Amino acid sequence: MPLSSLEIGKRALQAQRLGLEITSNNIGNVNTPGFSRREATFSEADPLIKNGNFLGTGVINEKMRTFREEFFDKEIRRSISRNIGYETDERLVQRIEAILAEPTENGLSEVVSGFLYDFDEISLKPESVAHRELVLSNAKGVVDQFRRTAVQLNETRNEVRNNISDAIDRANKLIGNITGINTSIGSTKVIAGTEVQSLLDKREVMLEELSELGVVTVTQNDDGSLNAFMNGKNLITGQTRNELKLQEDINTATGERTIRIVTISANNVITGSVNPEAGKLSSLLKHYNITLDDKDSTDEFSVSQNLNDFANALVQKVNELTIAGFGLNDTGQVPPGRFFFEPAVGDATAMTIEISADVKNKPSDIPLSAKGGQPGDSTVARQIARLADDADFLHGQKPAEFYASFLGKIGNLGNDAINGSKTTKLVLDQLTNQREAVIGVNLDEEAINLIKFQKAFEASARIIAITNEILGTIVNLGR
Amino acid sequence: MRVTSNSSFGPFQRNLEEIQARKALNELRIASGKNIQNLSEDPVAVVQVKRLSSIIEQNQNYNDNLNLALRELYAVDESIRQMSDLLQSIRQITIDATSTGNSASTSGIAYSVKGFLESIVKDANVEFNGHFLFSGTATTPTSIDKSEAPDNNPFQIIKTTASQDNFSGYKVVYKGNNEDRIMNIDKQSTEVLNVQAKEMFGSDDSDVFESIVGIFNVLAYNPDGTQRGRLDFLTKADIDQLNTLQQKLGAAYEVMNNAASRNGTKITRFEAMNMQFIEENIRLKDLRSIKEDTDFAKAIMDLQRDNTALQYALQVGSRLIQNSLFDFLR
Repeated sequence: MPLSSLEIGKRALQAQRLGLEITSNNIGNVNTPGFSRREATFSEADPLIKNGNFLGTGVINEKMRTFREEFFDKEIRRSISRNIGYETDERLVQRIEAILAEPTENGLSEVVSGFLYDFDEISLKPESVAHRELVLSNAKGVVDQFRRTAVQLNETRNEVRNNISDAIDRANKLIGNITGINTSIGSTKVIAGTEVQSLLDKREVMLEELSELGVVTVTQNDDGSLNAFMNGKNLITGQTRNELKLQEDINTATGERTIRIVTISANNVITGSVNPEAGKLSSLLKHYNITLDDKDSTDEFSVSQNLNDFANALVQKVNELTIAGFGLNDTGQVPPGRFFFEPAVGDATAMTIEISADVKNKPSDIPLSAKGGQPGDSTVARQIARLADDADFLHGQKPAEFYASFLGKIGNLGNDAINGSKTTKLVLDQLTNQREAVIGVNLDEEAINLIKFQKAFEASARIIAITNEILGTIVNLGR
Repeated sequence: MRVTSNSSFGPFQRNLEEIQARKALNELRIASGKNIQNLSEDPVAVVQVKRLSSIIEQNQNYNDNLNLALRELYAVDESIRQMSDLLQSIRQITIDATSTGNSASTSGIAYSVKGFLESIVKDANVEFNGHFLFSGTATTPTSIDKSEAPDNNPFQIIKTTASQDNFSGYKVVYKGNNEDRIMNIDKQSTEVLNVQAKEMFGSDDSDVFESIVGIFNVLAYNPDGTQRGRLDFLTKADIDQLNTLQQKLGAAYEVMNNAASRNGTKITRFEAMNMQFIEENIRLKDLRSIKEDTDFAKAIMDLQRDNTALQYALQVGSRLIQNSLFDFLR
């Protein structure tokens, strides 16, 4: 009997010590991201049957219980994708707003209107070379502002491309790491039958990081590994993986460059296109292929495309008028056919707009008159000024209206991103809190557990001490 | 529901961030005086502000142009007055000439008339802002027709071959045109800015000058074409001719007055339009300010509120997040 008490005491000590270790681990990892608390579960050891009686044989540690639930993990991954997607949108739109420097009193619209109104002013004194110089100077201001904006938008687009490339590299690294963990989990479970909760927690953190980049769906395998898909395309299948790659397509007719993401197998074969649906990659792709694409051919809103349309409309409309006009010293019946802006042929863009060589540094040659030899006639100047009120300037709108509407659309993009970010952040926070309530570490709880296991350990030690005394007494009986 | 360490810290941190973000925005609104700091904040308001701004700018443009045009119209008005005064003076001395018998005076009067003619031509050649006022759209020296007379002014007195109708041979040549100089005065309307030469000086541009030269010829020359001497009196025919010419000048004076009157009404109309644009801009700026500018009272109240919220959040939060059971266990 005393020997069985020793065994019972020993088992009790081991069980309480394990409980202490698990509790200590929980306390140590209270701030570890993605850590799920564990709990030691005990059960009574199989009893002995002696003389028709069931004699207990102490406690055994059944298993280490974990509280992680796939439901929360799945919902949180989805929310992360949406939230990060909106946050990426928000940052990019803020960048575009900074480039346009609106709202301001010296924006592109004001500069263009000011240029057009210069022609109203000069219509009163078309002979004045000084005022013609002023018109050229303000035209230069218009050209500079268009170009500066276009260059900055283009730089932003290049930066977005680099960000996509970096994100894909990061995704591939995460895919590799997750596949490695899948392998470890499979071997650990098989080899030792040990709980692999730490590896599961690490893997979940990586899956959440991957979800920041795009929507990832996960299915579990029996051996503890998982399969991960993005837009239905395999990224991870147990212990094998595909990688993501950036693919650029160029439209030879228009020069439009678009980017897509493809999956490639281990032997470098493209297995399909991937649409991330949400997340950072989805947002970056959208802005590269549409918002910042100056040759965008979709019907969606493109900032660069609209800017180009604005520049082109200004160039075409002004040139249409000046080509039929006469300069200060021109005579005869036939107009000299001068353009004010370049390019004279084809569509202008915000990047290519320039003052024509016909009038650059030649203020007297600016065609303001509709009649040769009559410099006081300012018909062309007045018609150019009237462009500020032309309801058919661009897309059925006047220049200022078009630009206001353009800004409104950008503002709406940003506003949608901000609201989406706030809403999805709220949902994410709630889900995180709910998951945290289940898997998180409560220091008060762990403090009580520490005390509980400590007392039980002390009591178990006492059992051994008393049993030892009893054994000592029995052994010394014959002396 | 279990409350864990992270579920205490997380919301506390997020709430602090939110309060600080609101506080920063209100500080920015107060510092800049602008309610809208970026497009995303209120796209609808941004569009409204932009549209109002474009109308204000357009009105300001028309206002500035009207002011410029008014200065020109004042100059035209001044010139017309001077010319009509000179015409009156010619009429007056012509009348004086018909009532005096002194041939020496007659000759002197003739050269006074020539002097007045030169002054009228000088006034007709006046420039404003680098262009001629009364030469139509041929407003520069290079654009006037110099085939008949070489100098750089639209009106020029030349000496042609003397004839029975013109003993002195003097002639005023007009080298400009009778086109209108037009300006935009608002979104849809235009207005003629200049007074044409034919409106001022007659349908042949120089009827008035012919009459003045005629008066000079009668006063300076005898009916046979010789220059009047001291004893060459005006005959009845001369006096009749002078009266006829003087009446023509009277009609020309009326024409000039009509031109001045039309110019004057234009000035009045432009001044009224100016005031309308100014008043409209005042109203539009008020409207724009409602959308665009910070309501300082509200912003300051909001800032105060956020400041208070931040203070209390920090105080309460810092106490709550410190305590756990470990603090009480020995």
